[in-house]
Amino acid sequence: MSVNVIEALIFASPSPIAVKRLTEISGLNQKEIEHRIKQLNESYEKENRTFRIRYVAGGYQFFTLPAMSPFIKKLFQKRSQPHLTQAALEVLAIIAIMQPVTKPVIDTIRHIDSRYLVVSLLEKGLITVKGRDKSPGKPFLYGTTFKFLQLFGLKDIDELPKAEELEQFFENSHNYAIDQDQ
Amino acid sequence: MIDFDLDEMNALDHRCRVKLEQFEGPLDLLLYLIKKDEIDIYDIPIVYVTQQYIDYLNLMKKINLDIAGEYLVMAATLLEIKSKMLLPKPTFTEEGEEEEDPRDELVAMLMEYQKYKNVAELLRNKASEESEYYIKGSFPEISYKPEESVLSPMSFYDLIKLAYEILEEPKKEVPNILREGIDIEERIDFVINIMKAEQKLQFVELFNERPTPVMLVATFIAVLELVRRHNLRLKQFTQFGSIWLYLIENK
Repeated sequence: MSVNVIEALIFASPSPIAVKRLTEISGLNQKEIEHRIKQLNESYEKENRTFRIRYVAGGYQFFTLPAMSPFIKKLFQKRSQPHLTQAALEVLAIIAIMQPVTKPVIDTIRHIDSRYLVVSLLEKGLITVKGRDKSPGKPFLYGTTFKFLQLFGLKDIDELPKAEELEQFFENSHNYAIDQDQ
Repeated sequence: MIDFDLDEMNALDHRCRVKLEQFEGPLDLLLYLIKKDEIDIYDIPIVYVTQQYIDYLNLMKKINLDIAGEYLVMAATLLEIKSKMLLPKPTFTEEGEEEEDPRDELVAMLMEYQKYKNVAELLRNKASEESEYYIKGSFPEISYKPEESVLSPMSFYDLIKLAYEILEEPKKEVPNILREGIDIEERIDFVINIMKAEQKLQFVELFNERPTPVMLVATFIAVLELVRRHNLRLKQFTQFGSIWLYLIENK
């Protein structure tokens, strides 16, 4: 019974539905909800269904499986994903890790002016102004948005490593800096 | 400062023959150079790298790429490190005190930047993975592909009615566009006849209604022709004023 309630709520919700909301409505606690969703996904798998429930950008949503993407792509005129250049990704990476962060700090790390990239990311809705810094000139502080989490399939911003963890994070992965993979 | 003759340098060595890639800034270019030659980032051969860096700037300049000021600042930094490295080390260093390498700051900058390049790469991979998942439901920002057919659903009776309307539609009259015949001789006769009656006349008075441009030009040419034949005399008393026509009586 409750399994079905959770399924219906996630199915009907137009946006990611947070665990908190599911708890309020269903009366189940977080652990129970997570267990039910696991059960649901297992049953979808057993029945060869083409979708799963995933936790992205702070809530649960139905997604079709990657294997279906070649067909679904044909349904849409254009990809829902904005095109990001290498430079834009770098700026976005700095903002994502260091947020809230000012443009001067971004410029210092990249050693080149990032003004147009910041504007472009603002326009794409991937970053937003989170306030103003106390430093001279009171520059804007930038941070990432909900749309950012969705675009990169992140549960929340804590899924990314912290600035001070970066070195170790990449040391343990194949992405590490100066391995000559180019 | 960094203005060398590139061709001359090319003749000297082949270091300039490198594929020009797009760089996102001076640090990006430096990292590229370091990776390209598999250089140990903690022991950068500063003379060699500086030369490579400057070669690149010249190459970029040569193909008319805009070189941002930041690239030049980095060139200056590299040259400064290079000159510091060339200076003899102080003979008296306090024991135990580690000597500072002029390259340290540069290495720190490169490492810091590389970390975020790694994050960018991580994000790129994440976005690519995520793009294979489609969220259930519709999104206003996504436009659907237009369906193959542009026809809208229509009943048989709608179709009949439409066919009837098309068949019954009165044929629209195609306006007959006449070609304006311009005959200067005819205009000459016309002008001379009027002038014989009037003796003197303003040019505009030759027309009783708004003349077409072609008519106006043809009449004006006719007037000029009559002037040439000494049948008419023209007078204009003020600039842009009325043109007066006077008949010259036949001798």
